[in-house]
Amino acid sequence: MASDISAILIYAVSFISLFFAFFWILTLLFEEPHLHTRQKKLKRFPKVSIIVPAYNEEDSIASTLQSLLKLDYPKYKLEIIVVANACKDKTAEIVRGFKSVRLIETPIPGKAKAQNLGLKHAKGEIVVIGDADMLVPSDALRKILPYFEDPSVGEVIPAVKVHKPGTLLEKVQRYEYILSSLIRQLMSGIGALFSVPGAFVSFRKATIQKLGGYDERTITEDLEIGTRLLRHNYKVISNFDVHIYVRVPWTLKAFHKQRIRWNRGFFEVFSKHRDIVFNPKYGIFAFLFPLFIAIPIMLTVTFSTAVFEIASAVFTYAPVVSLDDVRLILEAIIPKGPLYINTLVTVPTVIILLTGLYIYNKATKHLKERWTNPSSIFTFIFIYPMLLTLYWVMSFGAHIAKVKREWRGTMRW
Amino acid sequence: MVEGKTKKFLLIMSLVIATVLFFSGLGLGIVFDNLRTSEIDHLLTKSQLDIESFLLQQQFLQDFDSTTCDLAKEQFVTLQKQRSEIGQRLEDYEDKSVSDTELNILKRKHIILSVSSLSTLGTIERNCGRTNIEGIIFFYAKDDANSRKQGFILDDVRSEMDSVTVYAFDINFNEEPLISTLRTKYNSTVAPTLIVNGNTKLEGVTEAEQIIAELKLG
Repeated sequence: MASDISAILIYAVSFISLFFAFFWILTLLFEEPHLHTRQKKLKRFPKVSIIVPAYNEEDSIASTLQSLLKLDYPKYKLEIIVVANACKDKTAEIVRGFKSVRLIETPIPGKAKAQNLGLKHAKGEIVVIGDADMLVPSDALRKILPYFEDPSVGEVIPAVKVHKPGTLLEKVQRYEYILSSLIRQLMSGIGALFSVPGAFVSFRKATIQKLGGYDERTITEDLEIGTRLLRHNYKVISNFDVHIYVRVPWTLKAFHKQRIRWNRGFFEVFSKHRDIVFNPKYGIFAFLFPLFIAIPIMLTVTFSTAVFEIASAVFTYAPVVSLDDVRLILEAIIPKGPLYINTLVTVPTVIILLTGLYIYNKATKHLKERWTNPSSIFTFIFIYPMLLTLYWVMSFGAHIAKVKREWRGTMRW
Repeated sequence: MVEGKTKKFLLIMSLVIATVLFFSGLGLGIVFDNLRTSEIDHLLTKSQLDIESFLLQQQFLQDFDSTTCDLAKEQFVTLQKQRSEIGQRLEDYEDKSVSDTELNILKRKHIILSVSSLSTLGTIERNCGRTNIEGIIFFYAKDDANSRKQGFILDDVRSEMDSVTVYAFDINFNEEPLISTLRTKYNSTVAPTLIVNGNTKLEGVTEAEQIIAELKLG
């Protein structure tokens, strides 16, 4: 019975994975000639407000502000606002050192609240929300603002890359960010981009105000606003020719906190906007939105099946089988010829791995990155998905059990 | 921006490709199953023919002298090695198959071949007297740690004593009525159980030293 269920699960995961893999490949093939469109020239220079919510960012805020001040944009049309929310360090003091930067201090924690406060004070026609640890290229605004000539555009996002990855965890996240940037670009091309990063995202202030600003009850307000914009028929556009660099968690503890928050936020957003699912009113987004929930389910099914099989083998054999016998078991597992291969598992795994590598290779090319460091590539392909699965399971458990959420603004990530 | 029609096309094409690949994968699995079953079927048929030919030789010669007996024993040992290898291959293929219907039929054929070999050993012993071929009947259960352990121990015994022939039977394989007959004959209900030289019953995991001692006693 157990093996029947696991066979059905493997069939389901294989089919959905194949669908996803080829959907992205076909989308890539269709969109590739138009991925790097000729940059439109900015016809007019609207007033822009850049809002940077900051919570205990004394290490990075200065370099972020320096990069923002170097933006190639008329200074009288640019307003930079730092919302220091519940800071206990020298963030506010550092910001005060930048005369052209406006500082708003609030004792209330929470990134969404800080962003809404910034929005309230912003005078720009266009509002850009940034992270306090981002580094922005000088031409970022000139490349992003032309998209707002189209009144149906609600949000424009850049590609986000990892700044100077040092630890293995950072290097692995670098690959993830490269891949995500390409996938976002493809989603943007088919009008289904809702999963947006928090760094240097631009809106028309009137649009975001019309929608009621950021939802302060969700912990991933950036994901929520992207979804809300799509459901109100606004386009969310990605321009991955603009590369923003951010710091990512370099310790497992920080990474754990970030992923639990992201995943729980994803469940919240999915739950809040569940009426979109398969609703033809929302076009392709209505079909892709539920498929995104399939990713954590598939990861969980795949790895929990593997863990279950390994654990049951260990529990069954460990009490009686010696180390020498383990060698014999392993010898029996290693295929002695093609007929000894389990096609049920091997065929979809190989296809998905190859398509994944193809898409990743394209992502590195388009984002002007390189394949480096074999150990981190190995970790990214074979170990990182297991870690992500673990966090999906933990997040789902916490979401169901309604464990108290940790708000951004009381933590770095 | 991709047009609405193109989006539909992308979705439908991805669905078509995924479906085609999925069923191609299943088809490949079925092709592999067929190759596996035809390979084992071929080996079993060959082995069955070898045993029949061997039995016919014995009938034809009728009177057994030391030369024919030695030849018979030698041939029998070779046949048992073939049978044992087929059994191993069947076990290896079992978890890799999309469907086990065909494999179960082959498993039955293999059991019949094993029981037929057992009775042939009896015929040889009746005609030639006590042989130095040591037969061990091994009742095992699938996915049972103790049975697997016992399998490893029997491999050790076989590598130490060339004359040992193991007849392994899945105690829970009820598709073949012979299993129930064997269980009743040897009054065996647990796995692993060893029947050494047709009379000594050893239940639970038995160490190599004890098996060898029993074989020497027999």
